[in-house]
Amino acid sequence: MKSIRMLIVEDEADLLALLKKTYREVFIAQGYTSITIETASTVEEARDLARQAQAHPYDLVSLDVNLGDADLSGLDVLASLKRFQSAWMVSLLTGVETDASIDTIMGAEEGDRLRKSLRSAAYRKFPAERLLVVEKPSRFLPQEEAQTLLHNRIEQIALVFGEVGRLRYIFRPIEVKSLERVKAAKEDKNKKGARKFIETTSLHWQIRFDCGDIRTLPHKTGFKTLHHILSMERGESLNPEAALFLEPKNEKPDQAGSGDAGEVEDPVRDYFVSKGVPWNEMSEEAQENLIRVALAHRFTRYVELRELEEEEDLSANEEEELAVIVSELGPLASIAEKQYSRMSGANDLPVEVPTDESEENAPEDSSVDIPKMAQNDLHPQGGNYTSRQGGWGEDSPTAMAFRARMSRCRDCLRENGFAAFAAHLEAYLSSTSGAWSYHPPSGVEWTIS
Amino acid sequence: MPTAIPQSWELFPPHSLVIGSGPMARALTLIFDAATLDYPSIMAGPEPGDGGVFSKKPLDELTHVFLVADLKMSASDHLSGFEEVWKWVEKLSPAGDCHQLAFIHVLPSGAPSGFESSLASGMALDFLDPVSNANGVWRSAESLSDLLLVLGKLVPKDLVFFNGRRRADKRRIALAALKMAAISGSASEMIAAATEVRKVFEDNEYDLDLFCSQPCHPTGNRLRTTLRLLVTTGVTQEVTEALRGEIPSLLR
Repeated sequence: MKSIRMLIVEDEADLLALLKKTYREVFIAQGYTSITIETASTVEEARDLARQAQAHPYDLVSLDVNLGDADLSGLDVLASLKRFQSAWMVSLLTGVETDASIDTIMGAEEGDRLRKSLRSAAYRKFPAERLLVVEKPSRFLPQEEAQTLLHNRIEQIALVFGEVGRLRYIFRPIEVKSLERVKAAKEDKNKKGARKFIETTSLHWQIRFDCGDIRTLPHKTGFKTLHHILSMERGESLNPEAALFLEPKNEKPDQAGSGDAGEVEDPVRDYFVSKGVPWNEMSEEAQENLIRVALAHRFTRYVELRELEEEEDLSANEEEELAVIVSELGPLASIAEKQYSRMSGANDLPVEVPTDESEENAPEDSSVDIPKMAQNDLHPQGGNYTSRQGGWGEDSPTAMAFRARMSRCRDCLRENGFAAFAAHLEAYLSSTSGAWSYHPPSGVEWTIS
Repeated sequence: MPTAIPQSWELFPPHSLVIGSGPMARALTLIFDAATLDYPSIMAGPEPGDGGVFSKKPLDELTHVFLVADLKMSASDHLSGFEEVWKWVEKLSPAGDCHQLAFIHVLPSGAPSGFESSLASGMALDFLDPVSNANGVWRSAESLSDLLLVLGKLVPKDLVFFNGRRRADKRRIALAALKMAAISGSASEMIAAATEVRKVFEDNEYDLDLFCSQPCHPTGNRLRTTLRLLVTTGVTQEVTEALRGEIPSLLR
């Protein structure tokens, strides 16, 4: 169902009625089934409506630039619509664009200057890609001709609105190229021209929510998951395990393995067995050698990146690379980390895969049976159903990590000027029946690629 | 040095703000559970947070501003406070110039009778009115119930409203033209603009103080002398060039 909610601001009663009728006809012809049209006839009324529409923006505003107010004009309404992000698109009706009488009265040069200054003033008040400056039919035209002209122009506005509307909700990955400094060798440090740069590509996210501006944010753990969620079909859902598989940086394989089942969980063994290696028949020394061989080709880079991470000097694309290595190493990641800790003289540190701050929220009880809990359903209010306890209980560590990750994503969006987007996720992204689902209101269609 | 924004404003954004010092300002702060700033603090502007960014929370909920004048203050000093409040609001409220505010000008009982009309003139208003332009006046000799009456009538307005009035104000247009002529116009354009300024201020020449930078009255005197020089005496090329730099610095 296509729907539109629009505001027409016009102080001439006849033209207001005509605009209302024409917009309705055009949108019906273009397949809109629900059309709501509100009207205002003064600057103050329009600005009040712009303020009130902050929570529920207009899809389209048709605004007369000259509203017959002594002090304020349609441009001031435009500024309010921008300030309160309360209109997706605006068609600004002017009377100077091609009105020959302007040239007759003011002279061609002055008339041209007026047109240009009006446009530039309008584009300073509202994003140009969502603003159409449209000329009203001249009052000197015969009525029938003027109506046809108006109808055609409104048809064009409706077509542009249909096209531009696709970019109202954007969350898509983009590659940003930048120059990154390469560390010079110690002996080259003082040489002229020793500083070298290489072109690197890093993952960024282009984001727009509703009537706000498009902005680009650097990658943040959780954005890939969020991207997946926003691109899901209606009715589809995502369980925490699958979500953390999408971005596996937070997994804690070493936590697994103290279950009450007979055999102790050993993800390393499972990994090699799945590759067809007769793990149980091998001696301990042979097992260790095999692990070393498996680690060898990634381990050097892993250590480099971990060192940079500890120095807090990890760039976005290096962070991405580390996450990929951790994901590729799978259960061996914990062994790589153990080895790295030994190398850096931190033998007493707990052995963990490099994780981000979400681990603060993960449960400390290492005796939790992760495989069992992972099968449990999530409670709508935040807990999950544990078959072992036979009632509503706590989230599994995986579910908790996922919940923390989503919360951090929202915080990141909020801090970067996307408070409305964060609030939207809080309202429409929910965990029910063991999985996360997203049920946006009608009209929210994400552009994700 | 900019004024540090009280941390409490971040946690509990104030609804009312009292600008001024002295017993009347303190009493109003208590009665209306308001936040308070003295004139030097408000004139210094707010201090930005980390990274030079202003939080948009501290004045998000501000609805009423009490501007408390003392006997030493001229209308132009008081008006400077009004202008500065808007600068604070633009920086510390998400709605910026669309944030709606109502002003209560608290005047000492001995304030000159033309004080209010000067204020109105500086704001490009015909008169101060709680309903049509969000400006209420209360003299400290009046009763508290009169103040409550004014408060009840106030209809808030935003800066766009005041800017709209200013854009249409003949006096501001003439002063803007003078500034432009001083910056980039010819000597004859400067003289023409100065003549126009003198013409629009002929009713009350001292209203020029309202549009001059601090200290308003001495600066106003300097501007009046300059205008007289330009219009009546006529000036040499050298003097005109010297005035080019001076005129913009005299105006607010």
